[in-house]
Amino acid sequence: MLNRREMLRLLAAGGAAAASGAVITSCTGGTPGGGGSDDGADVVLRFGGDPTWPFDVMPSAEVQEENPVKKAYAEALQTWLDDNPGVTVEQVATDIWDQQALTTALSGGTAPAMFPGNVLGGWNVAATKSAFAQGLAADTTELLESYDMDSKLADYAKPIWSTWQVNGAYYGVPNYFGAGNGIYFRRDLIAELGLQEPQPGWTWSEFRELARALTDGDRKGAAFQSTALHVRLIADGWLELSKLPDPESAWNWRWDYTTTHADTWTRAIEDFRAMVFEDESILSDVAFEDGDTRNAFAQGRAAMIISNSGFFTADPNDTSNPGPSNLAESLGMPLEEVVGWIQHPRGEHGRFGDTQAFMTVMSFSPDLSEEALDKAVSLHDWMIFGQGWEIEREVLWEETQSLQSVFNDPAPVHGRTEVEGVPGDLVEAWGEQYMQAVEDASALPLPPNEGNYLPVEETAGPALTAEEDMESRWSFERGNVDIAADLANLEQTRNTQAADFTSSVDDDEFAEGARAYYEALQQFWQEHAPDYAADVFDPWYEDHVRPALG
Amino acid sequence: MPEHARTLDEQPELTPGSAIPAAESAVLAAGSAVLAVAAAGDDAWLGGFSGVAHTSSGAVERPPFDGPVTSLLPVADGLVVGGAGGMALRAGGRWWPAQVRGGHSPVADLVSVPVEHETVLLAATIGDGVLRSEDGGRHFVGSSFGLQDREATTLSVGPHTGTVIAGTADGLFRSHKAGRVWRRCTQLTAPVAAVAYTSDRTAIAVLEQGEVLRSDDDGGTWAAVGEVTAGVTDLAVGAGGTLVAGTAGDGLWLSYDDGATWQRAVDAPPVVHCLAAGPARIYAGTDAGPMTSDDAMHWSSADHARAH
Repeated sequence: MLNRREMLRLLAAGGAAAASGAVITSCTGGTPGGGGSDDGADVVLRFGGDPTWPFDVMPSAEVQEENPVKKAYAEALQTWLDDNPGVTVEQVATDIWDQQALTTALSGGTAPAMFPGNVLGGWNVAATKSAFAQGLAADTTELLESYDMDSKLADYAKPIWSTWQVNGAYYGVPNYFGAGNGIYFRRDLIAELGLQEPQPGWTWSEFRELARALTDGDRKGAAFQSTALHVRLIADGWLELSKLPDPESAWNWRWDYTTTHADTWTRAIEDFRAMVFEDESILSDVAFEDGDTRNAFAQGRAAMIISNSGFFTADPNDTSNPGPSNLAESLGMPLEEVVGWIQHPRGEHGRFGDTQAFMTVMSFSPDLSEEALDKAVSLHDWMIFGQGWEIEREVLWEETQSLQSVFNDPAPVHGRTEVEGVPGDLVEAWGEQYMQAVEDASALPLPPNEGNYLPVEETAGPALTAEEDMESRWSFERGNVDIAADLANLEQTRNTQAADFTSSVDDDEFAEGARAYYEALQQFWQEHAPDYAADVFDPWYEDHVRPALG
Repeated sequence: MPEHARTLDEQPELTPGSAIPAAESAVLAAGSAVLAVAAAGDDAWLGGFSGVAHTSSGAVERPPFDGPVTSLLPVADGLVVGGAGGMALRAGGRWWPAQVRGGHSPVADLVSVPVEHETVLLAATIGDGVLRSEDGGRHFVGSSFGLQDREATTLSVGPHTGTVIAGTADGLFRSHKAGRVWRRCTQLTAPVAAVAYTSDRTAIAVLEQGEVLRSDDDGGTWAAVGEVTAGVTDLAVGAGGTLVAGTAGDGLWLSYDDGATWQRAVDAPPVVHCLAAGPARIYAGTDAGPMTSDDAMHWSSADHARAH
């Protein structure tokens, strides 16, 4: 018998599938599911999301005529369907971008065939791997070999792909590589004001100065998502320095915001608040999300924003998502003269890590039959790595004669920057400043991720809610804020929460993995940010981490 | 905070919804589930898979979001509607999709909290905690600071103190600031099914497993007082302080002694999704359609509209 909470979750995940008749009895009986089905020789692949992801259902002839991107896609998809008779593609109403909805659908056997595996862990590597270990995605290890996908990956994508193994197995295929998040800035305004463009290695102090200089009348120096303070704190090591391994406890971790780096957090928070409340150079509010900051940038209401490197190539024909090209067009200037992109500023001691390459993993429903899984991987291989990708580029060139439409991915997962029959390449499409910035960011060394050293945790663990809410308070609460008291409150809350959880990982295995992780982290910072290592990380590691791990 | 509640005419950014269609056929198929109910005088609003209906007219209206209607709240301007796939405001003869920042999780409960010269609306959601509106339900933003779990199942407002108690999958929390900040009000971490104030400072909470707790100090401290069957879906307070609990499979139960002992109601269908107490009667949304009772013990099918 489902309780009301469970029923409401199921209604949200199943939508119309749960309609009609007695709700709870039909829910109790379960709904027919699986992201694909076999009916003799037929395979149905179901995709969720709105718009459908990763691939659209076949666009109608009318839509193809109006939209060259849809036409190119249709041609590539139809070619594959012709080679794979008996396979059809359908849309289902599952929000694959919502962690709860997706997890519920997978648990209930109603998930689509393909989905972004990262969503299972809320885009956290360790949490995603934990979800894989719990069987929420199909094992694709053998299929990766049979489709020889490793040889098709760009060199810059291989290191991060290799980190997605869980106990020697893969639970998805490489889907998208991104150079990471950074700062978009108005090149034209900076030039007009005689300012210096940001360069790799710039600091948050320099950011603040630039934001102040770019603020003029209704235009703010920068627009921030509601979570921007988190980005600022990460630059100084918020994620790694605010918790300590504690193998003696049930959860294996304890949080420490007060005894080791309280001054660092206080300075960062005060500096951030100064930008907002003293300089008044920031446009933001508690509800601001990516779309709000992007709109502000495209409309000229903010001269800088935080966004991922891919935003630069946003489709100018997609008026629901105006991007840099739309801004440049509105100004009547070439794109590369108006908009630039740069990796995130560094923290106090030169620490970096806000800009990190990432990879979206395409995962598959564990309920797919062997045949349906093979077809799903085949389709992915075709459209992302194979002839399907080429067909789309060729048709896009024929229809648009636009290199930007053809090369709409600045760091393609396969690394291909040109296509036979298309006169031009990726750099010509987007300009040298941007492409150099993407190349620099893609080449940034990746700090060791604890998810790649510690045994996979199968317990979900305490939520980040308390930390998120406190960051929101620091970002938006006007007047005096007692940061020291807040840090103490946060520490107590998180440790109280952690006391309710028991790790699934053996204490000795945890300690061994944690030692390896922190040793790797120490080596990394000594090599890539020696000032941060000497002044911050090494003393903390020796005084607090080593004793805790024995 | 706005000095006064803005009227719809003062909200140029609000996306105008479609005008409410002319009355449709009143009665839908018998046995259609009613997932939400809200008392409106001697009548009630009903919500379900096909939309919203008022018991006086029977006309079914479809809110501008996907999925079934799961929660209803009459407000001064009209009706706030929460569902599995969104929220909306019905006012001035039109539907207005609510702008929700902070998630799209299903809405489990809606309450209004009087604050000085305005009214704040709170929505409990399964997955995004509590959402808050300061403009009558046109915009909602996340307001879960202090909650330890984002599955909020139930809300209740103290009639005179304005204290809000939230039941979540991780226990009970209360807010003295109309949902701006939450504090755990007991060490209990078990999932809460329903909460209701029975008087100025007395509140009853029922856990998903059936345990009944009572607080006599506005939610500050709680004590176990009794037990009802597991699977409670909603709690209402009828005339004389009678407690009525609906369940997901075991019908309706009544308590005349603030939750200490319970007895089964007569002629209630097994699956009850929601309850609402009006001045003269109590409404229940069930899998067999809307039911109503004058005394909380004896139940019969409601006369007019069935919202599917």
